[in-house]
Amino acid sequence: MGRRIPWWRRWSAREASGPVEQRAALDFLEWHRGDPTVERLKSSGKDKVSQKPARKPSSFFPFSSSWPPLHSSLLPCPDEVFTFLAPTRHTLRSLTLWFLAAQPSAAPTYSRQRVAPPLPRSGHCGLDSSLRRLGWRPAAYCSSPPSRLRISLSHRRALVGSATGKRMVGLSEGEKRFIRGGIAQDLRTDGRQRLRYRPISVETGVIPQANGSARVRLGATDVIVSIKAELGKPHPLQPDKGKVAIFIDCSPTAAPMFEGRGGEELSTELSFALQRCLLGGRSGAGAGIDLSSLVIVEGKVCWDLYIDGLVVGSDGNLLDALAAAIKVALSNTGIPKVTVNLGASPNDQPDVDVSDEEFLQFDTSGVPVVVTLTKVSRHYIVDATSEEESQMSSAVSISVNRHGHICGLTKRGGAGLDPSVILDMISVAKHVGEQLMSLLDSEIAAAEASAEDQ
Amino acid sequence: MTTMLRELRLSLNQTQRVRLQSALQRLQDMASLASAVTVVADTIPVNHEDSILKGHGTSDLNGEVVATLCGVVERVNKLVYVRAQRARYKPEVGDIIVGRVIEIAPKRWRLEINFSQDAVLMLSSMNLPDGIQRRRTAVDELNMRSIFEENDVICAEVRGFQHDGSLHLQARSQKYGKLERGMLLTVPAYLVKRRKQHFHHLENYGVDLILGCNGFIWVGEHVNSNGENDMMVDQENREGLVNKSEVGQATYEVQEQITPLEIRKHVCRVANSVRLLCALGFSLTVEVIVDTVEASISSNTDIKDILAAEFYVQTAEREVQRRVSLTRRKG
Repeated sequence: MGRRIPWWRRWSAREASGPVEQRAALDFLEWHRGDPTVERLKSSGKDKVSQKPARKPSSFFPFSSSWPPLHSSLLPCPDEVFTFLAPTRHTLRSLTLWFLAAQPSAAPTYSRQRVAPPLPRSGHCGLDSSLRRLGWRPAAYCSSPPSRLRISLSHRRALVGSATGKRMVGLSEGEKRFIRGGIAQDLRTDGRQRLRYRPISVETGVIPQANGSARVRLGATDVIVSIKAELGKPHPLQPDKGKVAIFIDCSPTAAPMFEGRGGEELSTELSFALQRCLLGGRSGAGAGIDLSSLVIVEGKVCWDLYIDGLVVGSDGNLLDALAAAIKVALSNTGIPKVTVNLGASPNDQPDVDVSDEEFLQFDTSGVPVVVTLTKVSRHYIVDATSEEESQMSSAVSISVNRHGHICGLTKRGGAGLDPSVILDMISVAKHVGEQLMSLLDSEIAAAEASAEDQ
Repeated sequence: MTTMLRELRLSLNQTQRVRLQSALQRLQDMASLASAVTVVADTIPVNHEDSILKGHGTSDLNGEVVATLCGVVERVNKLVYVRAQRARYKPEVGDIIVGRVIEIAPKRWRLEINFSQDAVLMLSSMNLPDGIQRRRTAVDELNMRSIFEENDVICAEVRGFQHDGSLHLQARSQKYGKLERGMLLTVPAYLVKRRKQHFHHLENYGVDLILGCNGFIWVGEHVNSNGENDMMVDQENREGLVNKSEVGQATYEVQEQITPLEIRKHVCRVANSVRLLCALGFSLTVEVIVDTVEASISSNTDIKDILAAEFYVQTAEREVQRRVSLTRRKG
């Protein structure tokens, strides 16, 4: 071992001993033996070795050992960043600086720890996300003095913004333990049991311009769904089916992290999950919404349903709330009655006359509800708040229809689940879904009644 | 009134709705007698003969002083201003607050306390865990994370404003410090009134309740704040454990971390009572909270049903009773 040099000075200290870094590099290769990127890196390095056989054996690794800029745990990174950044000394130095600059108050070291699932993060900082995609993550903050680097204020703000932009609810260790303990003891922080929903409140007809709309609130979670029907042309491959599109938008009023483009990732995730749960397969088979009822003239004219959801308040369990809101909004939807004058020749576009007064009620008996079971440590819970969601290992969303059939299933979160647990979850979701369905039915009836009163 | 009912978004049946409406109406009548409450565009009566100073939340309209905020009219000598109800917390020296650490900076922690800026807790203005008074060294500075980490919930006292306008806190007592084994509730700051005592140990329930003046309320399992006492208990435990096997010690440690179910029930009950009172907009004092908890126990209300319609109505009616009896006593 060479002299002990504070790691944040190593890149400037010439006296940092070569062998240590070499050993780190070899350690690294040993550690990641079989990793395709490393193998690729190795083999590309070997080509260089064959070109320049005079170099030291360790120089097949693309850093020269005479310049040891990096802390050993920072050192080799089997990333495309290295391969396409052409690892010159200069880039490496800037990389090191980047690492230190990424956390202005406390520089993290990137350890070699591998995490089972790559963390999904949108590309705020390209290097960070690509490192994370490869399973690298910052090690525990070291207690070395804060970085000596001066970073301009705007830069710092940008970095801090990117670091906190995706942050979930900040909870202290004690609170986390309290939440997990409560779930283990079947008494959650708001006094609910594990398989209990929060009180649900339903309003219908909140957007007068839309064909149907609903607002559903579960605790502080607050979503609005509007449904707009427009005349369109059926897809040529499915001439006997209408089209339904689901778009979800997360409003920045719900949480500061949805500001700017922050909510996009979640919005797409929610839209996809709802499409999968409500619209069935790509061919439209097994859809909760009866697509064939949307056709006016086969192959020519159909209704396009645009289902737009807006998340106004976010306190966990958005998917269930959105699915419930869609169900309520669909039951509130009136589709105008149409009279069709077919043209003389079969190729003509038929004349469609849309009535202003008469509306047809949409059949919603087949629309499923979504029950999300969130797994926290060893137990799973229903209707998790955002604090509880921050503790989840994985979550399974199961859509159940009136007959107790499963219409769709999506899983979020990294941790794997035992198949038997999933089967268990499905049967629980079926049971909970039935209760939720009947609750929603009565709420819809009450909401319609109160809307009529006004 | 109807907006308030809609805000509560309860599934009330007809009788419950009528009861709640009448209770809230009576509360409102009583309140309007008591103090000068304004809403936006209310005229504030002033004597134009003495010169007045228009302060925050007031505006001049056709020669009249008009409120631009909902709140309470305050008068200090010539100054007339409106203290807004739904506003951020405004610290005063000596307030006891609960906050969350958001950043560790050199020699200081930065805390989120629902003020317009972050509060600062200097390393030098808190007692070190070893309890010895000495200068803080560089080593102490490096070990700051062993005292408070990011996201930790801590309670402290407002020390004052510095010259640069930043707010400084202090935690120079055993009772201040990190809060664990419980939950943090946030309520509007105006619901918590400044009183002599903000730390409450509800002995019947084994629950600690800290009503931070900034509207952050900590409800948690009771911990002994007295350092000496704690140490003695520790020693006794250790002596008792000497005879036992290591397995026993391990289980003891595990059990120490988990809140017993009985206490957790009480914690949840107190927390839900706080949530209920906050939703109804009643000011949070320990008497009212304990009253609500006791009422929920005596009426056999389930913990989660504290937030259901029937108990809302009962609580509103009880508050009416309480205020009526208070005014009678005064009269």
